[in-house]
Amino acid sequence: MYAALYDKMDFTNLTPIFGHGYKNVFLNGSLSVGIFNSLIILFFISPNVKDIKKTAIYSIVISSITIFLILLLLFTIFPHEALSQNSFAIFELTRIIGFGRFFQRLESIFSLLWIIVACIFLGVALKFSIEIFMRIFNLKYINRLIPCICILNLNLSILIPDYMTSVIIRQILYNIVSPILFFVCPLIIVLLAKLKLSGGKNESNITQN
Amino acid sequence: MNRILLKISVSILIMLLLFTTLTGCYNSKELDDLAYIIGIAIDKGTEKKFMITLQIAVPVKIASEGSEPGKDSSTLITIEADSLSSAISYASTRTSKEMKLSHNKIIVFSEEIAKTELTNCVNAFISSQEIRPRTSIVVCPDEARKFLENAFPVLETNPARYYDLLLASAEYTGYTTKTELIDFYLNNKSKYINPIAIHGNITTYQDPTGPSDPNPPSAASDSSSGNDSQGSSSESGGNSNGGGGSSNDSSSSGGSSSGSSSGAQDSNQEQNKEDLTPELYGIAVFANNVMVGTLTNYEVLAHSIMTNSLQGVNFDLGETTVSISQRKRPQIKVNVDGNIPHIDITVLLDARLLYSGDNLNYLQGNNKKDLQQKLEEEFKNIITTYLDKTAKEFKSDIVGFGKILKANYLTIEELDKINWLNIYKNSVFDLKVKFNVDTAQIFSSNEELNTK
Repeated sequence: MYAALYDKMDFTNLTPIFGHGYKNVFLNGSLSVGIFNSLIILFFISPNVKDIKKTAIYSIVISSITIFLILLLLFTIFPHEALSQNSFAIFELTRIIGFGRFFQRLESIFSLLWIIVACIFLGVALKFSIEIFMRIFNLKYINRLIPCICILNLNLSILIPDYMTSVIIRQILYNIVSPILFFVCPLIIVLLAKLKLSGGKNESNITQN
Repeated sequence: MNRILLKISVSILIMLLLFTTLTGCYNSKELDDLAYIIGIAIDKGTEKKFMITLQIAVPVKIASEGSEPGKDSSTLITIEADSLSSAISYASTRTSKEMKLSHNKIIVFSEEIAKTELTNCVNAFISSQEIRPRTSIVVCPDEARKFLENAFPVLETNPARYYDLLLASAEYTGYTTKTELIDFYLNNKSKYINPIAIHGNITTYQDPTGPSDPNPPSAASDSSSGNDSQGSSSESGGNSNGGGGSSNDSSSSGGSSSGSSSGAQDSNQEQNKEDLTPELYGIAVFANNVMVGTLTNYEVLAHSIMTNSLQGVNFDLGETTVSISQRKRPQIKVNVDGNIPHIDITVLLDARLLYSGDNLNYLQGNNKKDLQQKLEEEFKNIITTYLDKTAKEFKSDIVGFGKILKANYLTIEELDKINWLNIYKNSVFDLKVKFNVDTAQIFSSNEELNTK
């Protein structure tokens, strides 16, 4: 996309650098950390991974760079006045791509790639949903649970009446629920665990003495 | 073994089920079942809001041997409607195929529409999933319909290719610029730049071999346009009135053409010797959602230089012809002092001597320096005239100085207080033009051309 759209990129669209004010950029922008909510998967794959620390660092760095590059392209091509009115901004970017008269309409290739990525993401999310369900209810057999969870997921997804409702739900999930559930809660759990561990060590020191 | 066989057969059944049901073929459409619109012209309607002309490609004529190049390769349908979608719906009732906009190359607006409704139309078009964002926008001083009526390719048969090549001519002629729907939309939305569109025109080409006519019909005359519209609307049929819109029928156009002048019959004989040709010449400038003026000739050259889109163009300086290209992007600094913007511009250009009609040897230092100074003065005048016209007359920042000003501020609220598009008219420009001249030629003087 960069190779195709470099002539449309205008870095003056990134200015003014603080946009609608410092409060909007730093305070409201910090809630957008919910976009990294998928990193919670690292907790689930840690038993199966050799070096979880290295994996975590690589995954955070690669996903951050990818998101940064995509957003940079988006903000350099669309000014902020047009971006706020565009529901499918990245899809519009792919519609603009064209090399001369022959290489046009490449949005179909991108759409196919995005569908494949969405299917992979859905598969991973369902897999970990089933695993959590199994551990909560201490179930033995996973195979009988797979079609149940998949159908439940499908039913929940078709409950949404229109696209705008799904946008609102996504905003609530990404800006409110995700930061609390996937960043604040794990942090609290880790702190409590550390306190408990240090409390346990003190007790063992006292008993030894 | 039985369980394995059962598993394999169930898997194959499921795969067959998925392959046959999830391919999406049930609503497929053959290419032959569709009619592709390659050009749209929008004029002010008499009964409805718009008069929309659709130029539809005729693939059979493009591919067939023996047809005149470009003449029969497209057909026109003119319809009055309140919107493009209702016009297309109504046009589909009169053709055997479903209309598709996915190969539309050009949208032509009349000046009347450009001064009132164009930005609303652009907002509607950009939302359409069929119209490509890279479709070109052209504003025509006369009826936009005439632009499409006379857009018959001569050097090729494919009208879509004709438009592609015609619109790409901006790169090597320098008489216009390339403006796409997405650029117009984004610039119109921005508070720091104003949009532009391509300015089209219809010229009369006189065949020198034909008899001289003391009163040649002009491009806007009813006789020539009536003949053309009769030829085009005969394909679409006669009177038809419906709920979706009313059509421009051949009887009304025939009536207007026959009533125009008694000399219409006589001029038909000379009609074959005179053709109307569309051309792309100039830029239409917009401000506050309406068209405010046009730039032509050297003003377009100045605009290309200021927006760093000059590819290379030949320029005549007296008897000397040079090829001008841009060495670097112009260096621009913008500061606002109260309500007065101060804009410092340094333009860096390269000139290569192509032909000199005088006897000067431009390899000599003084002559080369004189040429450089003349070019710098000339281009300084050209660019200053262009800047004054956009600021004082049009009050439209089409270069994008406001976008450069944005870097001087930290927040949008501070920038909104300045209200750039309103204060641009007060701008004071400090322009410097620097040329790097290359005067190497095959022959250094005219004397060497004379061989004995």
